Amino acid sequence: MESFFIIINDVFNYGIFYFALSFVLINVVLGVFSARELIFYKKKNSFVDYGYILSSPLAPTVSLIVPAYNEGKSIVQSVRSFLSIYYNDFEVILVNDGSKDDSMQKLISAYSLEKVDFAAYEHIKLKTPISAVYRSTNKSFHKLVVVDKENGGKADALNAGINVSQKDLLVCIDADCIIEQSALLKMVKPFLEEKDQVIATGGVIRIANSCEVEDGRLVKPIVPDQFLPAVQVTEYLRTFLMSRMAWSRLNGLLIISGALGMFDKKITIACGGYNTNIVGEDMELVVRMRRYMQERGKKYRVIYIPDPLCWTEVPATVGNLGRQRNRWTRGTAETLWIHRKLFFNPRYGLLGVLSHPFWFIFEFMAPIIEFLGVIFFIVMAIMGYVNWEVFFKLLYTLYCYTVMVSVFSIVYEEMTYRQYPSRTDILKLLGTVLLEPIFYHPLTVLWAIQGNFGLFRNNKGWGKMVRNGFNEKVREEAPVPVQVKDTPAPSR
Amino acid sequence: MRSIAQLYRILVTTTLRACLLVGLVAVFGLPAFSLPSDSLANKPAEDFKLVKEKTGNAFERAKEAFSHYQPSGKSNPISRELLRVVFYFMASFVVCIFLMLILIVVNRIRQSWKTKKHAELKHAYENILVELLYSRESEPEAAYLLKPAEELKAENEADAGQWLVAEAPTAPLEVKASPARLADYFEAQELTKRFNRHVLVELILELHKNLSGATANTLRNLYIELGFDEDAKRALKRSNWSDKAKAVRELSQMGISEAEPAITKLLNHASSVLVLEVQIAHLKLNRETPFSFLDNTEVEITDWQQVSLLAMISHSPHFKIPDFSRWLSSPNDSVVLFVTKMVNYYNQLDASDKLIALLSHPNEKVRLEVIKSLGELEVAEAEQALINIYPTEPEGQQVAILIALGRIGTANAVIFLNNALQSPQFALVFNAAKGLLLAGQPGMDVLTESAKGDSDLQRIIKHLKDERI
Repeated sequence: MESFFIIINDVFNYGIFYFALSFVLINVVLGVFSARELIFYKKKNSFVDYGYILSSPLAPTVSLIVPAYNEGKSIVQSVRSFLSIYYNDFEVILVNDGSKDDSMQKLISAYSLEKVDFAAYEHIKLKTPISAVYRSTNKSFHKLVVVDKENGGKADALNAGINVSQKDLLVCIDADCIIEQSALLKMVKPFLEEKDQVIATGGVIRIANSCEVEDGRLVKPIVPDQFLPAVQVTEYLRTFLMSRMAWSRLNGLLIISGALGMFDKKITIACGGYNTNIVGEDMELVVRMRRYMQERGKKYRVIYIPDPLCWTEVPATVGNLGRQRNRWTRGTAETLWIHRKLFFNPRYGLLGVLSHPFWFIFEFMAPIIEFLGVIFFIVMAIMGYVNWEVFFKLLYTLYCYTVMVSVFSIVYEEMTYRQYPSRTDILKLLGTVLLEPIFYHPLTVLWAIQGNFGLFRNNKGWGKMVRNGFNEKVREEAPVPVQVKDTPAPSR
Repeated sequence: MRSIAQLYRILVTTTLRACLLVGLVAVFGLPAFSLPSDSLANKPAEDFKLVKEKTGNAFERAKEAFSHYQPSGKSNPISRELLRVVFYFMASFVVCIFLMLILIVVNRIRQSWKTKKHAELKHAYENILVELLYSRESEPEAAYLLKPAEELKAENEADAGQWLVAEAPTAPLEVKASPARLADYFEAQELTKRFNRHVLVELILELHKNLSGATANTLRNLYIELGFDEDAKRALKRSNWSDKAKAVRELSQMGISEAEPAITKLLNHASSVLVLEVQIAHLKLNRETPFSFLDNTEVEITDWQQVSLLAMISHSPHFKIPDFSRWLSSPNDSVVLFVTKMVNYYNQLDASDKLIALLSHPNEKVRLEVIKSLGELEVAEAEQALINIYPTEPEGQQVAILIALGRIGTANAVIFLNNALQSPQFALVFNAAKGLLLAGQPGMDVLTESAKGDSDLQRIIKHLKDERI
């Protein structure tokens, strides 16, 4: 029995220690790569005139696909905002995914819509059929296509949009996002400038809670006063500026956020579009597209753009945030499981040897290992086998490390886009950085564990999401911003 | 892979229950803690105190059992030495945090100082430039120059986009103030400081972009007089690609033609950003043969460069447009691709034969572009060649051929398109119908005839004819 304890003790002591150490080192490496990529991107883009794409007949055409479910309160304004994006040749395909509210009626009257005989081919098999396709009789809205279909979920709505698309590239975006007007110009550029075929580009997602919004445009970024949204600001900065940029540089990205992503239409269709049977369809599509290219021996790239292109409202309550993180965990696990063939498979190059194992070990397994470590620690503490001096020294070191990483992400932001010029905002961010490891991180671990339990209970739901709406200054005639809705939380 | 999958499943299921295992196995796995044989037969706790006592006893016994467990040196990884290393890590993290905080503060102070200083200097230099350039000019013109550059640009853009014409210098014209005189003024403005020089160069470039004629030429002379051109020429030799690119942009905008050989040397640089700047500089500085850089381009001309070059050419009417067909036989596929687009854009019908010959080009992208161009140029001679390659081409090319044949619209093309309506692939049927509509009345008649009794085709025709779609 003694040897059993020694094994358990070794596994936990050595295992968790070295796991944490490797996690720290990998993050340092990723941080360095990100910094290099950010500097390079900023330098490169200081020479760019995006106006060239605006007027060029050589620029690719773009379909903006917006799935919407019960968005009646803000749909008219959202569409207006999407139609005013800077780009020469694009269409906005709004897919009404069987909304139970008055979304369709509002769209029909606001944009003078009429049913048309649209000969859409089902490139991707849909779960529920398209009921009708609408176009506007008003030529000012000639870029708008409205697809009405029975409810089939977000992935199915996106697939319907892909089937109706008549352009070269696809942009999939959440209806409640605020998109920068130059977003398409910036996202298209990598498709034009890279020597290898670009199959997808993603933009950095920023947090819109508390920000000033005017007529569907974000006019002043503000760090929210509430703890949960504020802590997510640094979390998103860390994720996008310090991690995804590095993966983009390494060409090892596994995810393009479902809130905003641009895809090569031909490859998307060839891969079969979005998977309608899982909750992490955004990540799964990117992995599938990469796998498709890899299996055909084609050179390709998936690129992230550090510019703040899309602003979204994040959950502000523990319940909503928990449901969102629960769903993310399930999505990650499902994707990793579906593509388990990639795990340490050298045939898939960097994707198999590095990206997939990294996501499995440090994204999926990390909260589980952490949770087990905590339980083991509690048991050992009860038994009186904890060296408290060592414990506090290690804990303090780890705390300092997490604070340091978050402070670095704020420095990255300061040195690049500086979206929060106010001193108060920076102080707020630094404050959340100090509190995050104590109050926020344990919750994320708990939600991840719940997500795993949900996975085994075969929970396929998105969970109910309640939103507060943007801090929007609206003109009298503009629709009132959304207060409550049943749609899922914004994706990663 | 099967074993990995199993491992995955085992890991997930076992880890979720591991906390129980650690505790329970420790207690129940030991012979010392085996429960009395009748424990399962006992009734549910009759007395809470009894249960508490039992649990307490079990806990005490577990503690006792653990006390026999003596971790070996190996199983205690957190040695004093390691703790020292951990302490160093912690100290370095703390130092890093403080350094980063200082960096944030310093950066903010530096940025605000820079912005303030930049605005002050810009204002001062603007005043000097206006005073010296327009001292003998009428008041309204001086006021014109005092306007912010963005405002000027907007006004000029509204004026039929003529502002870009000013980019190439014209012959020396009468200047209102000699460059030497201007230079004297600026010498007094601490131009030895790098930041000040940077602000002045930026201002000169900004004004130069928005002006034309004598004033623009004066600015150019001032730029030379102050030695900024020499600075830029030196920057061309630096190792950093962005310094080079900046210098190339500066020299080309100020029309420093003598720098052209040095700039052209960078035509095949590894940085595509620099290469684009060099290509644009070549267009601006080499007025006789602006496109000769295509002869020497060995690197790929990316799609982004092609978009930028076309924008540059189409917005500047002073470029001599050559016969692009001479580069259609280039060994560089990206050059062929670019000039094919140019042939199409400038309607250079004389290139038709060479374009037809390119239908057998090994590069798919080139073939696709050639097919599109032949269609848009409506080269009837290409009809048979297009029909011939159709069966062996991939779907993307086949779609382009159908559209091209529709635009060409010969009787033979209409027959071919009508046959293509029988294809099992939706994209081909759709585009064959589109082609027939593009072919005019004969195509329309054939299409109507074929659609009789074919509801799918009728739907496609409705779609194609609907102007709202």
